[in-house]
Amino acid sequence: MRLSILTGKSDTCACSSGDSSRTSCGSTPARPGMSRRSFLRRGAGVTGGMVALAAALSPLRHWDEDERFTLDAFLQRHYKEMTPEEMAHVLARIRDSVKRRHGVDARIEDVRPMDGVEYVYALNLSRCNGNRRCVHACVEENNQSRSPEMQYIRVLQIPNGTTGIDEANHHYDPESVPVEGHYYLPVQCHQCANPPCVKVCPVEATWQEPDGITVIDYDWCIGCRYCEAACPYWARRFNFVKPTYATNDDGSARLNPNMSYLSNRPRPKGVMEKCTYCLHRTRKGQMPACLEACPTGARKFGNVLDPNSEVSQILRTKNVFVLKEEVGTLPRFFYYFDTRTPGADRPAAELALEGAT
Amino acid sequence: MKATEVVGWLIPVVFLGLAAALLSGRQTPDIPVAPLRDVDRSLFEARPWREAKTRPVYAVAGLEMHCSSCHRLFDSREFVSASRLAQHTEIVHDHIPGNRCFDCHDNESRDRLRLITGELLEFSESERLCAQCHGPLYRDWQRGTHGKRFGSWMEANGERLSCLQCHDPHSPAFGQMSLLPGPRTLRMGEQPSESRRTEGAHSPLLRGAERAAEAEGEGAQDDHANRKED
Repeated sequence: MRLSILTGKSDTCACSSGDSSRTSCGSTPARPGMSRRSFLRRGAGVTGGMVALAAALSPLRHWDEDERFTLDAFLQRHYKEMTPEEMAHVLARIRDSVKRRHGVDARIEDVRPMDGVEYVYALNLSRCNGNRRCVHACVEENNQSRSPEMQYIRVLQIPNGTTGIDEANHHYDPESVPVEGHYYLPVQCHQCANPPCVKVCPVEATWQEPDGITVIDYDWCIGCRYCEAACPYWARRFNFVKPTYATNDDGSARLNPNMSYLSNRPRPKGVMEKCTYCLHRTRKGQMPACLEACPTGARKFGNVLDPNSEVSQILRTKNVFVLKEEVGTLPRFFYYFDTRTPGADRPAAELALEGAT
Repeated sequence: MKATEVVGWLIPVVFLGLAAALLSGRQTPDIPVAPLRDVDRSLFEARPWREAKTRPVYAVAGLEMHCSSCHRLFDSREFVSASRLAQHTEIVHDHIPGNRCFDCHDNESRDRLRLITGELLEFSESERLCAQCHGPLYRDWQRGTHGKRFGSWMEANGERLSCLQCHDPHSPAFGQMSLLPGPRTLRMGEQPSESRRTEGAHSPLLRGAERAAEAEGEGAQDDHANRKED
């Protein structure tokens, strides 16, 4: 017996006898056309192929009924390639989809970066007490899934005297915080200037914007999770299942209606997401939600290109460090303590003069 | 039969078997999903931590009385230890030990605060009073590296909180605070309430380190222990 498709040899031989005649038959092709045997073989092959194809497509039977498949969505271009008209069209479609699926009248925009702005976050470890208000303010602001629960900020509880994150625990759950003998180190996307997550993306669905924020085009992401593996800060989150939200009394989803294309619009199943420094807020001059919620004043945010901004002051006068400096990601997220750098009180010009002489 | 032919037939058989299994079986894998959990939103509203007293008024039976309205009539002894207050029992005094009322309040005019130099301040200028002792913090606050700014990161638009919008002047330290629930993401499921640090089984951050330690055997763990001691 021979499977013509696999062996690549002619199967037009019309030998009536079985295996015994194989050699003679193979060497002397008989009349062209299709024998009963080859027809059956091909038929079985084709049928098998069709069944296999049907099986491969069978997950489509469970396609989200709310998520209508449209040619429009299928042909949507990459964020950077869209014309303003196309973007307006896409935003309108997303708005309709949010209304239909979640019953929310969203104001969805495409907020662009400001000129002359580069965002930097600074976090005072002397002040952070691990109360996790930032975590949940972020969940509310950015419309993260509640079931399964997704959180962008991971607050690590670390014993005093250790610096290694291998000592850290982020499932701490005491009666109240801070726990004696520990400090708290919240980790979220560091918006690196040299982001490994962007480098590994095979489809360029994630990139760094001019203001330093690394964003994701959720409609372009193929869900390969390379970026999640590449990120040294465990900052990226994957939608393994369809996100579920809390509901209001009227049955609509409890979503933040102020949405933007690149940040907090509802995400589909199978894409990555992460902290975007609340770009729909910060690009309009507002503070990120985590900072607004912080009761201890440990979080500082601002424009590092402005020499008088709070973050610039911190970088100049405090003992600042970044997480995993050795991996060379150049984060835009700094940690500091309230200890003071000697000479930090003196004007920068004076210090520069001293350095020159 | 040649080996290639056997393989040739095996492939469609395997595919057909797969097809049958996929078509008949459950399509979506059974992923454990933690049930929806609601968190009180009022806990993380953007607002000052406390209300600062910027005017020398005191609410008595729903009426706003100026401090001096009473204190004009009832004189207080000088150098009263704050812990023995008969009035104003809501005030818990836990600043520095030995701190007296009139270190900050003016005994003559109770509607004013008083610097150590004798200069009188309005209640709304209390920062300068704090700055007498907390110089470096005051400097940090002026620079914006201590304290909190609301609303906008642009200098002109933001609202910067004053000392007393976070700290109680009579008991300024931040004490213990309630905390909101931790992560319960997809594959973590329900977490035990006590810290799992000792077992380390549930921290994805720990898992990698532990796996590496296991792979390298006891020697690696010893190194790790030594490093900790260093």
